[in-house]
Amino acid sequence: MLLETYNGLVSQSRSLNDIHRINIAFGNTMTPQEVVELEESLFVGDYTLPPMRDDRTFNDRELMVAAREWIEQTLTHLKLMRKAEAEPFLRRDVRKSVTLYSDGGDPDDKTLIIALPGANHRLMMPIPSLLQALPADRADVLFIRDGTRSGYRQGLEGLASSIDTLGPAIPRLIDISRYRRLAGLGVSAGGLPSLLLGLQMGSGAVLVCGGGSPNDPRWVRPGQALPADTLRAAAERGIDAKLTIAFGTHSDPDRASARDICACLGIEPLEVSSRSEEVRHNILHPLALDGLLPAFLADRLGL
Amino acid sequence: MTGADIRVVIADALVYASVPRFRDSAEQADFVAGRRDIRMADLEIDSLAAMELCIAIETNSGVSIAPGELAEVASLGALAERVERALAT
Repeated sequence: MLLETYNGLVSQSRSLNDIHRINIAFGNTMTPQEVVELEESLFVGDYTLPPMRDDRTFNDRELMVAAREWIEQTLTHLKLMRKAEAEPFLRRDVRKSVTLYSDGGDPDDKTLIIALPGANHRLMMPIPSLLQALPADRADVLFIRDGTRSGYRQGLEGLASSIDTLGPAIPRLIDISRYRRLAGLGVSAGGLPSLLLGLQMGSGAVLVCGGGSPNDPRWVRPGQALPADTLRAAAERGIDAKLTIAFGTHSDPDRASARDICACLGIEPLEVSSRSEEVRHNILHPLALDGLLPAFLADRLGL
Repeated sequence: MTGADIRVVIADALVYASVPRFRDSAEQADFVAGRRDIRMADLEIDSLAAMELCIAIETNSGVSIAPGELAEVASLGALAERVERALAT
């Protein structure tokens, strides 16, 4: 089925950039097991290219090189998590822009991670790589993408008009009461919204990676509380959650934003460094290179 | 398509690709207005973001640039000029 979908899209492609677009879209949605299955379908068996457009600007060899480079890079990412098998997440589209990744196990024993990516609809790495870093038997992931790419300041199309109304809307999508606990994971433009959402929903832990400042003037909207005020008010009431506001040691803008968030909460940010590479905005990839990402996520999200 | 249009395409693509430098709206505006250029080396642009930039340029202008060719371009302004020249020929 996955191969048929891939072939259908490839057959309509005119340029190599069209192929890259397909690969990125697959990388933004696939499960770890689907990566393995697609690699086997394309490169282990007797794969035959589908009929292609007459006006395409690439040849068969260039197409297969692009596909192989992409799959091999994705598989390399999976291997960084140092697990013998692909984590058995299955994918279910809950609604437009909302996807649930679960192994189908009993939610009573699990944490539901509500994940908000940045504008690129990734969590600092392709989705299968991030999923491979998580234990499918202990966590489900509800992945919420902002189709407007406006940092969730307008909520979510067709569901909520602001970040303040997104939390109450999520139980209409999924029965969160069946889960043992909730956790939040947000990166980049999804970082601060993930924190706000986690506090609203009573999450047991929230991890923010490279999030924006709660003083960003783009959050100023009539009748809506400023994130900085919301965070201060939550801190005054008392927060019973493990909050991690992380930034890369080589990113001055992210350091400043993390300090802005933490100043509201009365906590200290977490500075992330790596022995593999400079840690700038993307803090998860260097942790993966160091072999530390699964343990980091388990610790910070309380899995 | 004008040079300013091409700069808008580039800026939007970098925002959508979550390139951190382009989270600063003032810097985006300065680039689009031609008041500021940014060296490619100063952008924190990963391989997927490079692909997304090339896809956006091709989709909006019809000019094909391979992600690997971005390494030959010194700055975003130079990239915009390259697209503009390709459209003129």
